[in-house]
Amino acid sequence: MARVGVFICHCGENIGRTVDCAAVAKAAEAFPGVVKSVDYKYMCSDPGQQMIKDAIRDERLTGVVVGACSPRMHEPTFRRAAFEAGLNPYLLEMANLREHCSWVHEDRPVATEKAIDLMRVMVEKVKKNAELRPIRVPVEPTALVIGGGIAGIQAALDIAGGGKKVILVERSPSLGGHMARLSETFPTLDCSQCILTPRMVEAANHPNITLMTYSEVTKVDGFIGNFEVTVRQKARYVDPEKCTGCGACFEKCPAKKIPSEFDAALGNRTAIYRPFPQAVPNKPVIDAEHCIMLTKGKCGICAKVCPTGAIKYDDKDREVIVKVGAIVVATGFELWDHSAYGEYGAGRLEDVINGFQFERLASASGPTTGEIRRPSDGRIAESVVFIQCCGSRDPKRGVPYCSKICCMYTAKHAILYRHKVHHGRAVVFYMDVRAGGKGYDEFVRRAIETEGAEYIRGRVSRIYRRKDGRLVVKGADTLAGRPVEIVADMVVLADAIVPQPGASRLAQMLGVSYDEYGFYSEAHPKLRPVETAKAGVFLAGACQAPKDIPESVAQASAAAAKVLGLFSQPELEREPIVAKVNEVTCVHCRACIQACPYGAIEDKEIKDSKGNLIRTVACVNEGECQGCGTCVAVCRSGSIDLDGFTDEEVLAEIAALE
Amino acid sequence: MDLAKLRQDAAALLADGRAGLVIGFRERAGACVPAFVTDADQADALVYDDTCIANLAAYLRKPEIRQRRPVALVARPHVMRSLILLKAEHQLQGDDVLVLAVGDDTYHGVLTLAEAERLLNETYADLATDAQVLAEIERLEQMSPEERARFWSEQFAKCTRCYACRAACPMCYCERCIVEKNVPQWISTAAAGHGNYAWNVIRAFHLAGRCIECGACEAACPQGIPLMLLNALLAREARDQFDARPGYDAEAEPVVGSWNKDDDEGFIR
Repeated sequence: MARVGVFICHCGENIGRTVDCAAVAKAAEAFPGVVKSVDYKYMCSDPGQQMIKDAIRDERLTGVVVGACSPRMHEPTFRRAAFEAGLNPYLLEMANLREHCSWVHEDRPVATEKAIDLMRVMVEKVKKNAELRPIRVPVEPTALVIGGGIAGIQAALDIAGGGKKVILVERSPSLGGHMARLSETFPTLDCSQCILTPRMVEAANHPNITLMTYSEVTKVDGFIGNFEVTVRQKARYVDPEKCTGCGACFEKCPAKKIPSEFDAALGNRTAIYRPFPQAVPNKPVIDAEHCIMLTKGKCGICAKVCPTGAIKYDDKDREVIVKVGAIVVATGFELWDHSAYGEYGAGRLEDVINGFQFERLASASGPTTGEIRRPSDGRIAESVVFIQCCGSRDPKRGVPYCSKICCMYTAKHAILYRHKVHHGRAVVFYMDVRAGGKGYDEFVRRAIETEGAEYIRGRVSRIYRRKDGRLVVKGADTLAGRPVEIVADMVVLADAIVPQPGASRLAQMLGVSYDEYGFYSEAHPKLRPVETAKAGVFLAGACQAPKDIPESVAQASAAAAKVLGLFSQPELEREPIVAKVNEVTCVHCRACIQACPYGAIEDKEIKDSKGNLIRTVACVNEGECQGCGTCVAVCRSGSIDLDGFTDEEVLAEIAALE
Repeated sequence: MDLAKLRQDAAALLADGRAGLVIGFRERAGACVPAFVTDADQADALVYDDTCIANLAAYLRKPEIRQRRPVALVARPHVMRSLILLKAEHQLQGDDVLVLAVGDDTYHGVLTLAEAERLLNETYADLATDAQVLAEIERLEQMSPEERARFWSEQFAKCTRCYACRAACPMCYCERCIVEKNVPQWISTAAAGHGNYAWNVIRAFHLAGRCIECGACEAACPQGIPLMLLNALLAREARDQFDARPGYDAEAEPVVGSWNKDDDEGFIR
């Protein structure tokens, strides 16, 4: 006979406000099979859990239903408590009285009635529940880090420092990401390259880190502990073993007029190139799209001048399959394209630039060697207007969110500009200044109070080019309540932070969810900010949301800690919520095999004692099944059942409502 | 149609052992009924005309017939589609069957399954839904949901749960049908009310993207339930939304149960 215990949680006031918890507990007492029913303010607390444990022992319970919050958060908590009291954890179920009831209703009697129904449903289910045992799967103690910016480098170094192997994949020819392009960093104004490049070198030389630059992830199979990832290594056309990085090739390359990605198109590069002098690895690649030899079949100068014969024009893309136990995604961000703003010149005014372009102008290694010269005629900019929130907080034409870092980098730009052009005028248009962070508000105050940046609260309505080539910036000063017009040599737009193009494609490959803008979603906004809903995949940096460098680094270290935690055991316990095929009734239509998103179902041949094939059926690989239930839904003969959610259990739930 | 040639081919297949059995039609009491011919000299009894609606592919799953593989089958284009689809769903090997192909008053001769697939795609690529059925679907779509529910309630109320529709359909090849699953029993087996509704709707859904609209189920129904309305409606949805053309490609994946990253997700929003 079933002996079910019912425990109703008030969740402070979250449930108790709308649901009469005592009445629910009282009603549940009368359900067939229920031998104990109580309510308590915080069931997840230690005394609450103790109540459940005591009842399991004292009342010899065969099943427990906790009426509380969503099982997402506390099912593991309560199941652990049940296990500690000697009850198989899968004989404990949760009824969601919070998200499914109290939070979505107002009428107390009606909500209480519904809560009673929800409890009845789960009591009927738990009576049908079977004892399940966790599945153990081996863990491959190697991590894959996708993205070689500061977040990816940090995560890789921390995991490698913890003694585990890391494969660091970067799409471009060099590590470094956006941070390598920055001039100086807020709020301390330390040189970006000086703090980043040593870390790049450390990552490249670390014995536990395998570097795969100029490479992209093209396919992800498998599951936590056992991913199989296909990485496409793009053809470099330069043998990295032979190349010494002497640079003779790109000095002589005749295709010189290619806009440099690294310099945000303010400078040019050659077809055989390294993105920047401090690149890691410091070996060039050939850009096949622009190389004269590869497009027209004649030239070959780089091969002629190369002293080690490292150039190989017949190089091909290669696909490598790597086995990893965890994946850290650190694909970063891109700047929103401000050409959608017609009033700012729609991207056609040469001297209206974005933040990255200003960084390159201000950088000692940039195309102007650190002088603030306007792109159109190379003159020193005597007056610069900085416009914040370009695309950010504009639900109609841009993005509705705040890009978070622009207030700070605009203040930095204004300071750097004033340092470089002492007599120059720096005007900042802002909506409001958001400078939360250690030393951040002080930094903005410094820009305004001691560095002479003029801050104007208001929007710019129009930018146009005068006959003499200077720009006219028309806007409003909403504090003074008057229109303003400023003549500037250059305008710097703080474009919104958006995810990398292709972020959603990678997310689909990984099975990670993402928001409407393409930022990857964390598993829980407060308590699981570096995990994703896909077990074994973690997030670091601005691929999740706009972040500055310290936040990206902190999250990267957090992700590394999660990976090291996962790798601390040779085996992993998996929830035994897996599908099972009834081999007697399976007709091998293979619908489940085609439908399974995890490739977890395969053919199984049933043979007689002499080895003759009797029939072929579908068979679920327990290690790979994620318990999604898709196969159950497509099986026409009803020959697949999901442990933990069997047809009998689900029908018992439905029948309880009749 | 060259019936003599068909009989001659059937006899030859049996005589030289290329087929262990020929399934076709013969006349009995003024109607066409399935004929199972094992001797070459019985082949002269074979007939074929427009009333031969039964989909003979439905017999292929029976053990006593499987024993006699390869089996030759008199098949019109719809039936050939059934065979292609059975192969796509791994219920048939390419060399299990031979086709005595008939269509548009023509006898196309003895074809392998691969040849039948080619013939279908070349000559019978656009087998349209019956015009009367389409007209009736349009009439139903004009109804209010209540009227339509009443229409189907009345239709399903006639169902005696004889499962002739299931027996007539080559795609209903499950060894244990969902309606016979009793642990737990999802669908009431009593010939009334919800059970009838559930059975008829589930049968139609299990054929979504798979029904080749041969009409055998409706012809088999002793109660005159217009099953083709449901089948054709779901076939239309599968075709319009997922380009489903069941039975034209033996390598095709099923519409229900296959997915890809580029599938339209508009319906979730």
